[in-house]
Amino acid sequence: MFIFATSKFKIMQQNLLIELLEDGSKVSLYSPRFDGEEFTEFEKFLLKYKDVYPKDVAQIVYRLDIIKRDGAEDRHFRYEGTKRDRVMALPSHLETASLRLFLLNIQSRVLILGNGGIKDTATYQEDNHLNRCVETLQKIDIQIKTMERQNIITVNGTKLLGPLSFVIEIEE
Amino acid sequence: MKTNKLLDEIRQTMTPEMKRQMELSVKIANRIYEILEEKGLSQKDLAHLLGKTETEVSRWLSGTHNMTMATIAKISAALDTDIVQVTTRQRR
Repeated sequence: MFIFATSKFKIMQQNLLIELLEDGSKVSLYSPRFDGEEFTEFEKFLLKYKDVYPKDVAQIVYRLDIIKRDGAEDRHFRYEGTKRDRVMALPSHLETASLRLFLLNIQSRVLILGNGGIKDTATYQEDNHLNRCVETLQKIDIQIKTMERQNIITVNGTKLLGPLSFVIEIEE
Repeated sequence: MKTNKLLDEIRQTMTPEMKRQMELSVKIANRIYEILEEKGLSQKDLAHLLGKTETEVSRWLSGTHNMTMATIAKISAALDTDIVQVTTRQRR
């Protein structure tokens, strides 16, 4: 007996480019931008929440400034994703809202800032939007790791060097 | 150094008070970590000394928590070391 399960979601291949947002003395900030979109994932996060939760967003931005200046110490982040990936969240605790920004921490010298949102569920997996944010970063992480192993992508100082265009599959 | 226009706009909205509070929170957290390292203690040990959960202590040391004087005093007492020092005018 064969059981066929058809997914209710459509799988699409999407091109993206990891763009440099800002240099830092100890850490640089990058973010993925999907083909055809004006803003990177992190810019979309800022635009969505900067007027709704201005203090929280300002705190995240200033925290990133501290990280760029002083280094990406572990205590700035909350471990998210799985043990196999480099997905983290910033910041771990906020006073005014449970605003969660997801990112990839590459060797504590490069942060690839993704998207995020309000976490009002026990786990991010229970929230469709947050889950997609994490899954997107996980898929990017897999490809970067493969290319790091082959020395096609390298981290030189705080620069991510190599081809930074990827194709990932996304469920619609 | 390259900066992002949107980030720069958000930086303009930050008040000096906000910046100072954040810097102070991070400096206090950093100093506590330094003291723990000097004493060969972990965050878990500190939680045990304070009778708190690791999660609570982690929140305090995240650098975003608005620590009360009582909490600072409690941690200082537990570590038997002043975490913060207040500068005073030199008396002749």
